[in-house]
Amino acid sequence: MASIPVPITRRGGALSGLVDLLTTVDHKKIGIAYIVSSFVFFLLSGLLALGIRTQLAVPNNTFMPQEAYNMVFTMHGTGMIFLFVIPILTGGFGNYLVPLQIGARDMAFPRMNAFSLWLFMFAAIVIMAGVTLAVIGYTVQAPELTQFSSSAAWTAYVPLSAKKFSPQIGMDLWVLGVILLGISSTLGAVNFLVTIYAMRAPGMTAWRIPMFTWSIIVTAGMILVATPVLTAAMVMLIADRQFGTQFFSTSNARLWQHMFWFYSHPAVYIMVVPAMGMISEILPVFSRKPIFGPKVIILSTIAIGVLGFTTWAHHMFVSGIAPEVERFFMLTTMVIAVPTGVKMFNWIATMWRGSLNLKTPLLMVFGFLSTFVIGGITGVIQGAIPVDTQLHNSYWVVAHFHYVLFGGSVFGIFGGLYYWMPKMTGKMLDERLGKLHFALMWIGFNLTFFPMHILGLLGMPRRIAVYGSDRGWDIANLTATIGAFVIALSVLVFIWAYLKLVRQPKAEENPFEGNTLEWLTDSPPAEYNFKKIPVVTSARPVWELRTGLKDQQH
Amino acid sequence: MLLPQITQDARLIGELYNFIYIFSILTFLLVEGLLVWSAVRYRRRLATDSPVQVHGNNLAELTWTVLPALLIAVIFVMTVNTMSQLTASGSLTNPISHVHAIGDREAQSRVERAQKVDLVVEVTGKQWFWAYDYTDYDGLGAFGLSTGVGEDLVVPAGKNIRLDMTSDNVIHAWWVPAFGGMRYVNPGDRSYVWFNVPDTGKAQEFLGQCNVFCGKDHALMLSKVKVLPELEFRQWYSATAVARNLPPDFTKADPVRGKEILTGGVCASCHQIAGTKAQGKVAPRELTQFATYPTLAQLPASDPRAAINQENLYAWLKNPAGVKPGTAMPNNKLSNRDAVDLVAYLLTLK
Repeated sequence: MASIPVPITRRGGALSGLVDLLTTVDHKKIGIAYIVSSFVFFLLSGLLALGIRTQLAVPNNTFMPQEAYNMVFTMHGTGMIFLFVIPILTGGFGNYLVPLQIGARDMAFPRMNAFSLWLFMFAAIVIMAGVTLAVIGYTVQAPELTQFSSSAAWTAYVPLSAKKFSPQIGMDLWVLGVILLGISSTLGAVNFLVTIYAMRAPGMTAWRIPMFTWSIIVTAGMILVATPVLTAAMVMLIADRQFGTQFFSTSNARLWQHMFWFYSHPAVYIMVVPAMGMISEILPVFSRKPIFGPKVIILSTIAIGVLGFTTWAHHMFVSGIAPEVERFFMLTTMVIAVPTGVKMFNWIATMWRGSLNLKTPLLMVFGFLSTFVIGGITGVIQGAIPVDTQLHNSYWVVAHFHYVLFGGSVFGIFGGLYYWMPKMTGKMLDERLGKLHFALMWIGFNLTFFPMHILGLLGMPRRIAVYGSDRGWDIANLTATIGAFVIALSVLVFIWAYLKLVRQPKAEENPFEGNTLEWLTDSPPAEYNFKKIPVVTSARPVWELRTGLKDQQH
Repeated sequence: MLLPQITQDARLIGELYNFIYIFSILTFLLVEGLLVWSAVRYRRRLATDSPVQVHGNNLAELTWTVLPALLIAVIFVMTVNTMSQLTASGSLTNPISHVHAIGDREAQSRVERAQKVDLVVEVTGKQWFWAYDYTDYDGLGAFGLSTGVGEDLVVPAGKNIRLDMTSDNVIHAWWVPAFGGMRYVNPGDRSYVWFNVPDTGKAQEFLGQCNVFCGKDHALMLSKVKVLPELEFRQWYSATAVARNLPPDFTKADPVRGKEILTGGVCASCHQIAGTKAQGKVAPRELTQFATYPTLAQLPASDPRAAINQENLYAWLKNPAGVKPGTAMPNNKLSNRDAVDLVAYLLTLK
C-alpha cells in the first residue's frame, strides 16, 4: 500500500499495446475500455431501435415477422440499459473520474476492477452472441439459429420467461448474461464505495467531494442494495428453467414482479443519478459560478437514492397488489419528484447571473434539463393510480421513460463525453460538429418521443409488432420513425467528430476552466495520476489555484 | 386531454388527468421559460466576464422545496378522492374479509359496488385470443364465445357489467381504453373490470387489446366489444344460447367456410397445412393429410373416441381437454356451425 507505482515506459509494437490493454489494472484504461465497449453496444441497440421504428412506420407492416420484432425490442431494452447506460456511467465515467476527482492514484481494488470489466465483456458477449445468431437466423430463415433469440421483453415476466413458454436456449443465455452483469456491477459498487471512503486526498471532507463523485457514492450504494436482488431472481429463474425448481410457479408469479422491480425501479435512478452528477459538474464550470446550494444538491441526491427503493410496486398497480399498500406506493412515487424538482431549481439558480459559455457540453446540459423535466412531470401524472390504470404499458409510458433515460441519461452522457474528452485524449471534439450533433439529436429526440405520448392516450399498447390502419395511430408513428432516423444521423455526426480527433491539435490542459482535481493533472493523465497527492482546502481547489482567491464554500 | 371518456369511471379518470395536467403545464412553462431566459440573458459576452460567486440561498432553496411538496400533497389528495369514486377494476382473489379487517373503507366500497352487477362474463386470456363464457343472463342459459374465431364480446347498454378474468397460460391484460381501468389477467388468480356503457339507442363498438406482452402473436390479441341496447341484447342472447346448445347439423356442413376458419383464424398460429396460410409450427403434426391419420390426437386406437369421424372430431373441437386431458390445444369456444364446417374441411384433408 505504501509503495508508489513507478511509471514504466513500454517499448514495442501493436502486440505490446494489446497485451497492455488485456492486462491493465489502471482505472483510466479500464474506464475508457468501458466507455468504448458500451458505446459500441449503444450503436447496436440503436440499430435495433431503428428496426423497431421501421417496422412501426406504417400500419400492417411486414418489414420483419412478429417473432423477430419481439426479440428486437427485448434486446433493444436489454442492450441500452444493461450494456450501455449503466456500464458507461458507472464503469466508464465512474472508473475514469472518481480516483482523479478525489486525488487518488487508482481504485482501491485495481485487480477486482479489471475483473469487473472482463466479466462485463464476457456477459455482453454471451447476450450479444445470442442476438447476432438469431438476427442471422431470422434473416436467412434458419430455425436452428432463431433458437438463440430471447424474446420475453427485458422485464422477462414469469411465466412467459418460464421453460414452458420460452423453451429456446437464447432465453437461458440472456438470463446467464444478466447474472454475470449483476456480479460485475456489484463488485464495481464495492470498489467505488471503498475507494471514495478510504482514498480521498488530504483535506477532502465530505462536503468537498465533487458532485459527480457524490453521485457515484449514491449510485454505488443503490447498486449494492438493488442488484443482488435481481441477480438472485435470475438465479432462481434459471433454476426453474433448468433444474425444475418452482420458485416462480403460477401461484406466485407476482414474486418475480416484486423482485424484478425492486431492482429495476432503483435502476432508473442508477442510470439517472450519475448523469445528474455530470450536470452538477458541467453547469457551474460553464457558468463561471459555484454550484448553487451544494449541500441541498447532495442531500437531494441521497433522498432520491433512498426514496428510489420505496416506489417499485407502482409498476404493479394494475397487476393485483393489495389495495391497502397501493396508496403508500402512490405517495412515494409522487414525493420522489420533490428532490428532483429541487435539483432542477438549484441548477437554474447556478446559471442565474452567471456567464454562460454556450459550448457543446453546456448545450447537452440544456438538452438534459429541457427534456428531463417532461419525463419528471409525466412521472407524477402516471403515479396517480386511476391515471395509471389508463396509461400503464401504453406508448405514453414509452414516451415517459425515454424522456427520463434518453432526455436525462443520454444527453448527460454526451455532455460528459464532450466535457471530459480533452481530459481523456488531450484533444477537443470539433465544436461545430458538436453543435450540429446537439441540434439534430434534440430535434430528433422530440420528434421521436413526443408523439408517443399521444399514441398512448389514443390507446396504443407498447410491445406490439403490428397495428391496423383503422386505429388512428398512423401519423404519430410515422413522425416517430422519421425522428429516430434524425437521431441516428446525429450519432453519425458524433462519430465523425470522434474520428476527426486524430487531426485535432493538442488541447489546453484545462480548456473549459474546470475546478475539480482531475483538471490539476496532465491531459491525458500519467499512469500515476498525480506527481504529488494534492492537499484540498475547498470544493473548488483548481479554481483557487487559478484565481488565487479563497473559495467561500467549505 | 385525449383520454376517451365513455363510462363514468373513464370520465372520472379523465377529470383527474386534466386536473394534474394543468399543474404540469404550469411547471413545464416555468422551467422551460427559466432555461430559455438563462441561455439568452446570461450568455457569456466577454471572455473576462466574472460573475459574483453566489454559493446558495437558504430561503430560496426552502421555498422551492416546500412549494413542490405542497403541490404534490394537493395532487395526492385529489387522486385519493377520485379513487374512492371508482369501481373500474380490482382483484377478486383478494378476500373481501381481509379488506374489512384492515378497515379500508374505500377498498371495501369499491368491492361492494363491483358486486352490483347485471351480467357477469367469465373471461379467459389465451395465447393469443380471448375466450368469453356467459354463465347466465335472466335465466337464458350459458354459452361461450371466442375472439380466436372472430367473435366479439357482446354486452347490454346501460347495465352493470363485470368481467371476471383469469388466464391458463401467461399474464395478459384487459384494456378497452374507452371504458377506463385496465387490469392484468393472471394465471392462478381472478381479477375483474367493471363497466356500464350509457345507452345511446344504437349499437356501439369499442376496440381494445391485450396490454401485457404475452408472446409471439401478442399484437394480434384484439378485443372488440359490441354494446347493444338492452332489448336487442336480449334477443341476441337468447338466439345465441339456443343455437349454441342445439345438436350439430352435419347436413349443412360447408368445407370451404371451414377452410377459411382454419387457415384465417387462431388455428393457423399453431397448425400447418401445406399450400395454405396455416403455417404454425406449434402443433406436433402437420394437418396436410389429417384424414388419413390412424387416430385423433394420437389417442390409442383402443379409445372409442380415437377414430377419425364426424362425431369424434366434433367432440374434440368443442372441448379438446374433455377428450384428451392435458392437451395443448385450447378450447376455442367454437360455435356449432363453425365446428361443423371445420369437421367437414378436416375430413377432406387426404
